[in-house]
Amino acid sequence: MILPGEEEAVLRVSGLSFRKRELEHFECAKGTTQLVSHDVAFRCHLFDTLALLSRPGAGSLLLGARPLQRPDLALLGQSPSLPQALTATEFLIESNLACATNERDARATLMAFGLREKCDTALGSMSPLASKAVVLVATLASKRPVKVLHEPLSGLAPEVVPYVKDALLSMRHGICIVITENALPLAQVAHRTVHLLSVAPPRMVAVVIVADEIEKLTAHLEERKLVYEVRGNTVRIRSGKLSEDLPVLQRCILAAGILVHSLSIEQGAV
Amino acid sequence: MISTAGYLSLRLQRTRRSILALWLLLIGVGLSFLAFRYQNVGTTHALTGLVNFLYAPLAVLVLFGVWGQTVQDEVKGLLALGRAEKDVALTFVASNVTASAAAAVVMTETVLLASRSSSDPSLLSDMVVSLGVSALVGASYGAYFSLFALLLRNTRVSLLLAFGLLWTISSVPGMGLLFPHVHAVSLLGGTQAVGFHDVVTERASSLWLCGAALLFSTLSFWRITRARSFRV
Repeated sequence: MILPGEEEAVLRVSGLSFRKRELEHFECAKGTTQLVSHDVAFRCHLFDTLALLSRPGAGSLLLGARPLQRPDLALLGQSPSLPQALTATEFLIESNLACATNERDARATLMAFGLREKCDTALGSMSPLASKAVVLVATLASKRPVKVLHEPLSGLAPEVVPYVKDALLSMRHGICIVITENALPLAQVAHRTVHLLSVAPPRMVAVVIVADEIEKLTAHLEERKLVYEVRGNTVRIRSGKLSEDLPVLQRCILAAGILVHSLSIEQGAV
Repeated sequence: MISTAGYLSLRLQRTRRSILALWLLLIGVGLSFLAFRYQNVGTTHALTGLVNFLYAPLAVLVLFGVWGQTVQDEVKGLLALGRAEKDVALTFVASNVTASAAAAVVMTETVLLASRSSSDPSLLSDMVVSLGVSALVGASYGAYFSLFALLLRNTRVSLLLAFGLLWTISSVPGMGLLFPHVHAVSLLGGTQAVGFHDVVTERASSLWLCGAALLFSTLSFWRITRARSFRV
C-alpha cells in the first residue's frame, strides 16, 4: 500500500473547514498526530472527513502524491459494531484489515495487547470495553498505512491502555496515525513521536478578583481593546489567540495593581 | 475468508438456543390446538385467524431467529469485517424474506391439515393454493419487518413501531389495503373479504403482495447500502 518514496510525508491534509473552525494544514510523516478540539461536532466531522465518510467541502487529503482512498484506511469509530458470533481471534483473521492471516498470528497479536483471555470469547458476549479493545488491536495491527482513531481511549478497558501506548510508540515507519480527541490522554506519545496539532476554539480566560477591584481591571481591558464580561467577582476575557492575549492580560493585571485569586482558561483549554 | 452467508450460518449454529426452531415448534403446537378448536367452523376460519394474528409475529420471530436481537448491530458488524455493502444487504433481505415465507408456508400447511373437515374441497388443491398465498404473505411481512428492524439501533423499539403502524393503520377503513393481511384473508377466502373482491381482485391482491415484498426489500437494501450510519 505504501508507495516507494512515501516515507517522508505519508498523509497531507490541507484546507479543511467546518463551522468556522479550520484545519489549515498538517503533515503526518510517521507516528501519531492528535487533533484536539473540545467541539464534539468538529471532532466527529474531522473523523468523518479523514475516514472519507463525508466529502470535505474544501481542501484535500493526500497520501503521498495521490488522493487518500478507503483501502488505505484502518478506522476506529467511537462505538464500533462487531459481528457478534465471531471470537476475537476469528475477527482478526476474517477482518479485511489484514491484521492476521492465521490463528497463531491472531492469538499472538491479542496476547501482545494483554487480551489473552479474550482470544476464544465471542465478541457478542464481551463487555463493550473489551470489544472496543479488540477492534483497536485490529486497527493498530493492520498493515494499512493510515489509521484514524476517534477517541481511542474512551470506553477502553484500562488494562489495555499501556499496551496501546506502547504500540503507538513502536509503530513502524510509514504508518500514520491520526487521533481525534478532546484532551491529551496520549500526550507523551504525541510528544515523543510527531506533531501535536491543537485545533483551538475561541477561549475564555476567567480571572477571579476582589469585587471592588473589578473596575480597575476592566478599565485597562477596555484600553487594550479586549472583549470581556463580568459575572460576580469573575471577569471573563474572550480570546481568539491565547499566545497573544495572555501577555496583554498579564500587563493589564500588573498595571491595575490588583490581587488575582485565580486564573483559568475555559472551553477546550489544552 | 468467510462469506456473508457463511457468517449467517455460523451465527445460527452458535446461537445458544436455536431460537428459530424452538419458536416454530411452539407456534406449530399452538396453532394445531387453535385449529382443532375451530374445526367445527371449518378451515377458512382457522386460516383467517392464522393470517390475522400469527403471520406478523412469526415474521418477527424469524427475523430474531436469523439475526439475533440487535439486527442493526449485526449488519454493521458484517460491514466492519469489510464485506461489500451490496453483498451484506442482499444476504440480509434474501434470508429474511425466504425464512419468513418458508415459516409461513409450514404454519399454513400445518393448520390446513389439522383443521380439515369433510365439507372442505380436496386437500391437494387447498394445499397448493394456500402454499402460494402463504409464501407471498410471509415474504411481504418478512420484508416489511426487515425494513423496520434497520431503522433504529434498538430493534425492539423499531419493531414495536412497525406493529403499531400495522395495527393502527389497518384499522382505518380502506387503509388496511396497504398491508398484507387483508389481501391474504381475501385470497384465502376469509369472511372479512366479503365485498372486498368487488374492489380488489384476487390477481390485484397477489400482485400487491409481490409488489410489497419487492418494495420493502428494496428499501431495506437501500438503507444498508446508502445510510452513512452503517459504514463505521
